[in-house]
Amino acid sequence: MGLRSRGAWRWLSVALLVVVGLSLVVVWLEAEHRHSERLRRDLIGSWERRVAAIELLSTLKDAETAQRGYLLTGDPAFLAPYAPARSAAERMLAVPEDVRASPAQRARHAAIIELAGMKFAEMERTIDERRRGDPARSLALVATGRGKALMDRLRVLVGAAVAEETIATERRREEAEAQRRRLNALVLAVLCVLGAAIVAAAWLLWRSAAARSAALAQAREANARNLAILDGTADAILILNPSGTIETINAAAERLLGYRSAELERRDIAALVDLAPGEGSFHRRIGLVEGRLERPYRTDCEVRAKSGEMLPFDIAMGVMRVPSGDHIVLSLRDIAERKRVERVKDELISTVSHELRTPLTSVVGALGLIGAGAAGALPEAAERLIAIADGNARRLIRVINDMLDIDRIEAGRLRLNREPVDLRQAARTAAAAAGDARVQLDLAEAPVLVEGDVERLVQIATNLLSNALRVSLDDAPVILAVSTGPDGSAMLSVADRGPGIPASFRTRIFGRFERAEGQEATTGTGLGLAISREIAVLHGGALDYVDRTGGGTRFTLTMPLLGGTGRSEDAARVLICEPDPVLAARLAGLVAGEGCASDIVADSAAARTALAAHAYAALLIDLSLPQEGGLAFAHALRDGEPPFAGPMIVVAGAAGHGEAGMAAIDVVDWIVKPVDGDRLATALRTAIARGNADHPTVLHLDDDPDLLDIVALSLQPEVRIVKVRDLASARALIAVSPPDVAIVDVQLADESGLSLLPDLIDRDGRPIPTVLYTAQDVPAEVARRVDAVLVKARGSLPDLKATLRRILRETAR
Amino acid sequence: MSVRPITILYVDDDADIRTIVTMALGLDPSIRIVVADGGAAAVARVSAGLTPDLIVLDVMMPEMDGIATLAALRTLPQAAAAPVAFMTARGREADVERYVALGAVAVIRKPFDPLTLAPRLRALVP
Repeated sequence: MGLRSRGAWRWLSVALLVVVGLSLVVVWLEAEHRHSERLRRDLIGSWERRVAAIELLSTLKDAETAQRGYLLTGDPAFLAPYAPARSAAERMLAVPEDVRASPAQRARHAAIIELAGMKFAEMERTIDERRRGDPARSLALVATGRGKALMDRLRVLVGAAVAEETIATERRREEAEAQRRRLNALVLAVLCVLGAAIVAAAWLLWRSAAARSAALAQAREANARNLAILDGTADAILILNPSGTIETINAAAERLLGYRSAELERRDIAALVDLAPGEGSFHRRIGLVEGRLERPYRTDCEVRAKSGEMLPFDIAMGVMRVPSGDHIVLSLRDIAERKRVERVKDELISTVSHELRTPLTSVVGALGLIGAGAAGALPEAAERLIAIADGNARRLIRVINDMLDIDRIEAGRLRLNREPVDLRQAARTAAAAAGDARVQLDLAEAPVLVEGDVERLVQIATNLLSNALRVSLDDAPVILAVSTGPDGSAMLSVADRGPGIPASFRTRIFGRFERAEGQEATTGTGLGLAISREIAVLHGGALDYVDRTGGGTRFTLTMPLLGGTGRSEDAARVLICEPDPVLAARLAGLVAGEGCASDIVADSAAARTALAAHAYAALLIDLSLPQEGGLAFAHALRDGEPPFAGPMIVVAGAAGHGEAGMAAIDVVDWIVKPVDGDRLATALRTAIARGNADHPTVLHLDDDPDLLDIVALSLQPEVRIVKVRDLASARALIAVSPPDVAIVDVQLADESGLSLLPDLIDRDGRPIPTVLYTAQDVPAEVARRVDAVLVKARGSLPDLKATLRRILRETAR
Repeated sequence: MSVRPITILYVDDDADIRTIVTMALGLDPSIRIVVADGGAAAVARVSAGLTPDLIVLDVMMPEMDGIATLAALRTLPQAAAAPVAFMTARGREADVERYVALGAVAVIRKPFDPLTLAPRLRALVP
């Protein structure tokens, strides 16, 4: 764009220069033409004057010849040319002198006229004398020489005039010659300039053509390259126009889906895959906002092939911004092979596990029974051998279990059967299973209740104990302790007096198949700590270690106490609206993991009760919430029934149902079951951070729902607006979580907003800044009780905004 | 304190494990164990008049697997209401959930501890 306009400017200025130059040349030529015209006229004038002077002298001579002939002969025939000569001379002399003549020329002209007159007078007197018949007297008159003198003087004057005109003619001829040379030079110069211009134009044209052809070649190459990439890639690529119609597909798409390109072009993408169900424009449904997609990746989508078969694909979407609108580029990765491999792997693991466990069942069973004396008493040596066999068979089982666990964890399939567990009991079970005298228990006196999967918690304790016993030196005790932490958490720790964790191993200690240097030869798969930490995290807890003073290491599992930690007043509290108790417990664990308290409700009525009783930092809503339904309840909350302005996280049963409504109720995340723990934790962190963030809360009391919406739209997200439509709701909200500012309408449906004013006080008893936003005038004594009074009118929203900002600034100070 | 004697029907195609289970349950004299080497044998025993207090089924068996065996046993009045536990060497949680959904009161994973098997099973009988 810029380049093109710069080029255009260059061409324009060149054209302008050419036009100006040519105009100058034309003006110059015009001047030269006028000059030469003048010269020509001057030359002609000069020539004419010279001829006229000579003619005059010749005429005078003719007259003199006629006079003399007559005087000598007295024959009147001689006089015949005289009269015509005289009248010719008079005509000549009657021609007015050139206006441009110099004073000298004028004087000379006048002298010639005068002398010519005197000459004719002289000649006529002699002629008259002769006519009177007195030739002697007329000859005497001639003999006086006066006539000759007059004629001589005339000859001199005419000679001078002729000479002068000759000089002038010569000068003008030179001038004309100079002008001709000048013109020649000018013409040459103009020709040169024109030639140069033509050469320059030709060069520019050539260069532009060359550049264009180079650009064209480059574009062709880029296009060929892109086509090669498009067709060479193994993923199916489809380009959709802004309305979701397929424009282009690549070779892989033809191959994978079985269509020819022409069969798919101009068809709607919905014919292949349901990317964006629902109503409205394709862009809106697909979540395209300002050139960015809200959900650019879709995993495990089913795409209809030409055969009608539904094939599994992972889909990545990109946006191609072109002048004809935002196009969507779909990249479909065929995951059929991956799924097949996954199935084969699952099958293999299942089979291997079965085939290993079945014989192990007999081995462990037999050894256990023999060891217990079920087959009669054993000699001491046999008993020792049986114990060795039993221990190793159990180790084999642990290895198999570890492998299976790590596979489950990787596939996200490790599930917890949550129930209240006394961590002390888990510790006792693990200690008993270890069967090692070095284990010392240090347990809290009261039960340490957590919510968790008891088998998995025992597994952690067993893993930690097994590691500790392996590394502990000699008879040094291994201490297994269970206690409650100062922050209200539950802790299970295992402390050994081993060599400690080598510095080089610290970064890898919780990795899979990792073992410390020098430990490679010892027992264990190197999976125990990785599995234990995953289990801890799944419980909403953490597993970490510290060096013990005096040598050794203490591993500590930290978990949220059941109903414990968050009960403290200053922790953020999250309301979990989840009817499924298992999922609710898991969500509670995750919430606790974020350092927050939680309350669990199973239906919307209970949720309403809870919301009235406490201020919640965030809300988790399952859409399958009984009674009202989660989505309707979320909408009701956003509409202020009851008011809740904090962040919400939605847990949905299936993808594609109502995500479009996300924006309307402003949720942090919309998580489809099965709930991914990491994603939920991230969403929770975001929600809690947002809930804790310093967004001032503004209560807006008005009975007009439209106005509530408009004000909320114009003020969010700068502030959190809580919309309430009646006094009771407003009072309830103030009691639970006092807002930073209140906007109050005076005339409500059948009550007065003014009666809320005495209730607008915060927890410390200070008045909450209040703005009356009303359609009616307010008496001065009322206006004095509030911070601002604004009259509802068209265009009053900016005032409201400014007023709020001012109040919030002042409050901040 | 006398304990009510109970009868457990144990169905497994693996003879070794049948022996181990028989011996392990033999540790509790109040348990009477009846073993069958497959679904058909189990159905035959119940049809012949056996009324088990608890049915324990191995899942992976040739011909009739544990689930098919359960379906067959449930058609017989003597076994229609007895609690059922599955015993499995497959470790998949999805399987466990499926068995629970089928009405299993417990899923016992192989290998099991022979010394605690008797009390574990006894606890499943109401």
